Order: sequence, then C-alpha cells, then structure tokens
Amino acid sequence: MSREPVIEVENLWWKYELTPDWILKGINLKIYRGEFVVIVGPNDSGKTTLVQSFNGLIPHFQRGEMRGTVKVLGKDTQETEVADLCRHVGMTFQDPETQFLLSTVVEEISFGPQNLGLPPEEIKDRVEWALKVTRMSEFRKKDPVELSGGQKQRVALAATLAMKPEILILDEPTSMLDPIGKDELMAVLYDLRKTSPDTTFIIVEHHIEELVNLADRFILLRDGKILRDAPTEKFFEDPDFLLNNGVRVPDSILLYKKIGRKIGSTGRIFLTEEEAIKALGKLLSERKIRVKTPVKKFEEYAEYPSKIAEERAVAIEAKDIHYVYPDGTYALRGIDLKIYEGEVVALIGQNGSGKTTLSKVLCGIYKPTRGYVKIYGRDTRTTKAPELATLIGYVFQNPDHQIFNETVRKELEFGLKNLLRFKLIKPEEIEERIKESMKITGIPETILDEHPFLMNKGMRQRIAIASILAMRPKILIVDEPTTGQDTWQSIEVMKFLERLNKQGHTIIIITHEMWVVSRWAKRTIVLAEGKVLLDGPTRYVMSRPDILQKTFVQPPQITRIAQALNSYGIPKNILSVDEFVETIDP
Amino acid sequence: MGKTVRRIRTFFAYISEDSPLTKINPVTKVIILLLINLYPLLIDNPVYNFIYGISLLSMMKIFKVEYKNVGKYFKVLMTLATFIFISVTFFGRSVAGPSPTVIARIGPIEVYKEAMAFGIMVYMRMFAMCSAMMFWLSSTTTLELSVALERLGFSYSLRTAITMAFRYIGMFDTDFTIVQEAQKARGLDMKALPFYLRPILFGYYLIPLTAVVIRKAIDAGTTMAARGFKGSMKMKFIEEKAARAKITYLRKYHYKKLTVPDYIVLAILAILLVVCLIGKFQGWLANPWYYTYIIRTLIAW
Repeated sequence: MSREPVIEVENLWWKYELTPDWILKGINLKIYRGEFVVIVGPNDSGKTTLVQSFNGLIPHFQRGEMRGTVKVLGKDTQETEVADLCRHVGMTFQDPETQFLLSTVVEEISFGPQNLGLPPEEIKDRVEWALKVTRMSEFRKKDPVELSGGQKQRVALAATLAMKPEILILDEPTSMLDPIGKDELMAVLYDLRKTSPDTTFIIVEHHIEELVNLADRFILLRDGKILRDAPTEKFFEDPDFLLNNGVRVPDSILLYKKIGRKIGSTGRIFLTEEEAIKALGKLLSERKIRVKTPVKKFEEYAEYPSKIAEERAVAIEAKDIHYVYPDGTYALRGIDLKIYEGEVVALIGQNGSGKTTLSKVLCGIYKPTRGYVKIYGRDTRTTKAPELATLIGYVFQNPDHQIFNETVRKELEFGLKNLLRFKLIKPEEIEERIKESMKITGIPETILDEHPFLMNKGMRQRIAIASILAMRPKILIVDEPTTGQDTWQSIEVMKFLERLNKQGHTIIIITHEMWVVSRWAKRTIVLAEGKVLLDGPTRYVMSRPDILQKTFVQPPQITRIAQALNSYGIPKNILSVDEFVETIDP
Repeated sequence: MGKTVRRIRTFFAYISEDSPLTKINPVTKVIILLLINLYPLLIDNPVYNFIYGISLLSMMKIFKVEYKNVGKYFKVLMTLATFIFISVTFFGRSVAGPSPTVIARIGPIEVYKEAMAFGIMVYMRMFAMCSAMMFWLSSTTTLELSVALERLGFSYSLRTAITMAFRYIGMFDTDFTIVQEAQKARGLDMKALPFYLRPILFGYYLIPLTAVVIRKAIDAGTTMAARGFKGSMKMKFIEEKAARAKITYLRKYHYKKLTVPDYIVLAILAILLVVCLIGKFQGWLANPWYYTYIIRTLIAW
C-alpha cells in the first residue's frame, strides 16, 4: 500500500452555530490512500462532524466556527467548494430513505454524475458499473423507496460510487438494516475493497463485528478527541478500555480475553468468528481445554412455556390473525399466539416479515382483517382507542412521530386528556400520573416547560415512553428501541425496560439486534412472511439457526461460535461470553 | 390463477400498469394538472362543482387508480372545509353583499342566505379542487413529471426542485399515517370525538409533521450538496440534448410523441376550458343562490 496521505487534518476545531461547545477539539489525523478506516465512539462524540469535514460539508454547508485545516488530496477544504470536493470524496448517510431524491434507481444513481457535468455516454457507463458492483442491476426500474432496507442502502452506495470518488465515506450504513441487509452491504464492500485497492474507505459505525475483517485501522473518538488510533489488531488489544468508552467489542474478542486468562496464551487475538472457531477447535481437539458436562441450565429451557402458562394470566390472546393492507398487500397470514403477564418477548424477523404490522394489530391501531385479538379479555375490534390505551401502549421507533405538543408537560398530559374526555380518569389524577411517569423514566422537572424537540434523541424517546406510561398500560410494545443508539444508550434503554418489567409490565420488543434479544428477552417470536416461524424461549430459538436462516436472522456471534464447536460438546444454545467461559474446563 | 397486473407507484398511491392513464404522454399530464385545477375556479355553481368532483373520483375507479388512500385526506380536508363553511355561514356578514337576506337569528348572530350560499360555493370548490389534485397525484409518477418538465424547457435545477417537492408529498403521506397511528396509540380517536373538536385537534398533526419534514429537508439538502448539486448550475448533460444518448430506461419517455389518446384528452380539456370561460362570463356557471348571480343578471338586463 502506498503511503500517500489523501486526508490530512491538523488541529481541527469545530462548533456549530447554535451550540456553545466545541464538537471537535484539536483533531490531528492522516488517512492514506487505499486504507480502510473505521471510526467508532459513542453518539455525540463528533464522528459525523469529522467525516463531514472531509468532503467540505463542513464548513461550507453546515454553519459554525472552524479552526485548523483539513486537506483532501492536497486541497484545503476551506478554499475548495463542495461541488469540487465531491468529485473526490463520496459520502452516504445513515438513513438511506432520506437520501433518495428521485423516483427510479437509475435516476437516483445518475444524479451525481449529472451534477458533475459528465457526457451522457460516461454517465450511462458509470450507472451500469455502479449497478453491477452493488448487485442492483435487476432493480434499475424500481422506485428506491419500495426496496428492502439492504437494497436501499446499496442504492445509496451506488449513487455515491457512480461519482467514482477516490475516498468513500459511509456514515453508519448498517444501523437500519436487518442481518441480511448488513450481510449484503458487507459483501459489496468486500468486493469493492478487492477490485478497487486504491479507493480509501472511511466507515463510521457502531456495529463493528462485520468490519473487523475488512478494516486496516480503527479510530476511537470521544468528546471530540481521538482517544485511540491504531491498526485493527492493536486497537482491540485492550477491550476493557474500549468497553469503558462505549464501543461494543465483538464477542470473539471478548472471548479471547476471557479464555486467554483461563487457559493461558492462545497466540493471536480472535478478531473474527472464524478465527475463534479455528483456534478453539484446535485447543479442544488437542484436549488442551475440555468441556464441562452437562451444564444443567442449558437444558432447563424446554419447560418454560408450559410453566408460564400455568402460573400467569393471559395478557394478549391472538387467534388466526390475518391483516391485508388497503393496497392489497398481505402482511399477516393466520397468527395464533398467547402472551402472558410479565413476559419480556422479542419479535424478530427480516424487514417486511410483519413484525410492526403484528404489533399494531396487537395494540388495536389496526383491526385484523380476519381473526381477533383480546387484551386481558377485551376484543380490540370493539374496544375504543382510549380504553385500549389504558391496557396496551405502543412506542414508535422514531420519537419525532409521536411528539405532538410544544412543551414536555403538555406532551405528558396529551394521552391523559384523551382518557379524561372519555371519563376514564378523573382530572385530579393527571398531575399524579405525570409525576409518576417522570419518576419512572427519569425525566427531570426542570425541562417540563421546554420544547421536546430541543432535547436529544435519548430524552425525546424517554418523553415518548413517559407519555405512554402515564396512561398506565399493563403491556408495552417498543419498536426498535436501540436503533441509532450507541452501546451505552442501548444498554440504558434496555435496563429501563427491564425495570418496567420488574414492576409488572409485559414488554414486547421489536428488534434486529440479536445481542439485545439474547440478553434481555426470555421469549422470542420469529416472524417470516406474515407467519410465526418459531416461538419459544430465546435459548431454544437461538439454538435453531437452520430455521432462523429462513428469515435471514442469525444468532449472536457467541452463539454461532458455540454452534460451530458443538461437535466438541459445547452447548449450541449459549447466549453470552460468560456462559461460554462457564462451559470450559481448562 | 388470474394474470397479475403490475402496479406503478405514483406520488400518492398506485396505478395499475394496464390503466389507460399510463399511456398518456407526461406533457399531457402536466397540462391536465393545470387545467383540472383551473375549472373549479371558473365554476361558481356548487352543484356543478360537486358533479365535477364526483366525476373525477369516479374516474379513479374507472381508470384503475388506487383510491383508498384518498379517503384519509378527504376526511381532514373536508373537516377543515366544513369548519370554513360554518364560520362563513355564521360570521359571514362581509361576504353577504349590500342587502343580505336574514334567514335565522341565533342570539346576536344573524344567518344570511347569501353568506350561506357563499359558504356552500367555497365548500364545493374545495371539494372539486381536492378531487382534482387527488386524481392527478394518484395517477402520475415522479418520472413523468420530471420528463414533462424537461420537455417543457424547465432548467435542470428548477426541474429537480419541483420534482422533489412533489415527491415529498408521498413521503409526507407516510409520515402523516404514522403520526395518526401514534395519536391513536395515545388514545386519540378522532372518530369518537365530537365534530366541533376535530378541526382543533388537527393542530396536533402539525408539530410532529413539521419537525419530520424539516429534518428530512435538511437530510435531502445535505445529500444534494454531497452529490455536487448546485441550485444555479448549468448542466452540460442537458445542454448536450441528452435525449439522444440518454439512459436506456428513460429513452422511451424522451422520444415519446403525442399520440391519438393525448390529442383526444387535450381536445376534451380545451373544450371544457372554453365552456367554462364562456359559462363564467355568460353566467351559466354562476351560483344561483349568491348575490353575484343577481348582480350579473341585473347588469346583463
């Protein structure tokens, strides 16, 4: 690899016009041609701001104060227009949908080259090339918004690639993708890396498990400063440091750290799942480590459903639910299930499998086309919305869709006033319920008269949950609570839901994050094409990768490692690194 | 099993691929947009506007345009229109003419026949215009609009801006649906509310929709900048008469000439326009219950 720097950042400071604090604080950085660099760090650490300074969006498009210099291919970004820089630096953003400007895949991809003023023949060639490398040729006539999550992200990538940038920046490209979407995108990046060795890749990402294999170098950013900048293997040498700085370290690396302590040095760190399987397989076959047999807790799960059914009341009963959208799309095709009081249930499946539709049918937002849903015995088809809201609450994925008022107080009162209108509560209860929901969610009284949209996303999500909790629903459905959140925020949200569960709430989580499922959900329901593919204790569901694969879901990395080593006696339903370590007898 | 007909996504809904409307030239469609929204402005007679609106909605069914989505917006728009109608009827002295006829007294409020007639006229005009817009948005694609604007000589930047603005109507529709659902999840059931409360509560749509639209606009703007778009740019691509070597998929639109169906549609539209213009000035389309009709009759006499 040549050591020609393509990006040189010298003492970069940046603050946005309306914020008092500096977002970037004296960044010094050089990125070389052909490098694959991954930038990690908690939310609000300045990752997006930093990469936006590479293509001139900062300082030309965003308003604020800049100190220091950024040079891209020798050009000072402060003196070069974005339109000029974008010939060299391509960038895709987190949400593919908001990046779509036109109505067909072909138009979308040709937009950038058109702006470069290229001759028509070259535009055509570039569009065809971008379609081919992103494996989107067959979708050329489609409207981008109608594609699946992974396909959308590939169109966004193709639109950038068609500009043939020397530097390619992807800002959280996998955050909204299901596991198959992530795999599809990674496969494209892998191909690109092989076929375009001179292209420099810069990826901002929280989910680094799949990137460890591709990256030359990782950079950890926190509070606007670079805390660590090192080649991949060296970067992960101290996982505790990374965990303490909000990085979710892949299970294979954590396993190496723990197994390494137990069995002494095993040589090279397990950067990937394959490396872990190979190294541990060798140790197990050479009998340098043994498996404890049998570990009781890995067998207990089989009793779970019947035990629950005997002990607890039925919170939700769904019988033969079908749902057809007004445009004729079949979303649900005969679902039967019972959810018991106090359960934590995860609803998983690929994008479009019917998870969100099922949740909306369960809480009465949609009436089933056929079949019925009963919430504590009340049929959702005949129960009015305010009454249902006191039984079951639904927290939408994007908090911005569910904030209707100009102050936090009015927001918390909103649902309660709807209940009041139907005489379901008394006026004097409102203040008490607001205080109660604020206490549970940790909303400080000082922000009651503030505008909810001035809060950060985490607080907006809390406000949305608090306004649902104020109605005291017994069941709470939360749609993708960890999307766009960093590791700390994800853990905080999940612990909060765990507390609610301990207080007696039944919790249903819709998610793509398998580590969230394996850590918090006791029961998992897998959906595929509008049907229940698998329903049982999470440990059981994760032990069936053959079935999960049908809906393009994978168990967490540690479970996959355990399953690959099952022939040596490692239980195939292990859900955490600690559980794996428990089974090993050095 | 019967043959499955592909559906094409339009700004607002879907249209069946075998619909006659898909055969119409994009330029004709832009002319349709302009004229079908103009007719209700020339028609004062609420009965005619009502018939016009109903005819357009029926055409959606006839031409295989998905119309279920329309109902949702009609509920909102017609509730707002009803609110306007009520306020004009009860507080419409200023539109009632010089010597209005009092038909009822509710306390201090006088209800005038002319104000009521004016209210009905406004209400039906809104209904007709909403129907026209729904019909067009539900049967036209972004690509058709983009191509038509290019053919009509719009600059690249203006064409992109107009197309994107229309495209966002569809995305706005998705957000509107989610906001409605989120309100329902918080116990707000519009159907179960008294009629007079509904227009007030529509205000609750505005805060989340405004926030989401602003965020999306910022994201789109950032993407456009990152892909080298400049509002004032002159595009070589367009200047070189790109139609000659355009991307295969777009070619059919660019070379598409006006055909017999286009001429038939344009002829009907032209005849309707002439009828409306003559009717407007001859008084055939006037509101028979509103004072302008009386004044016009007197002047003519």
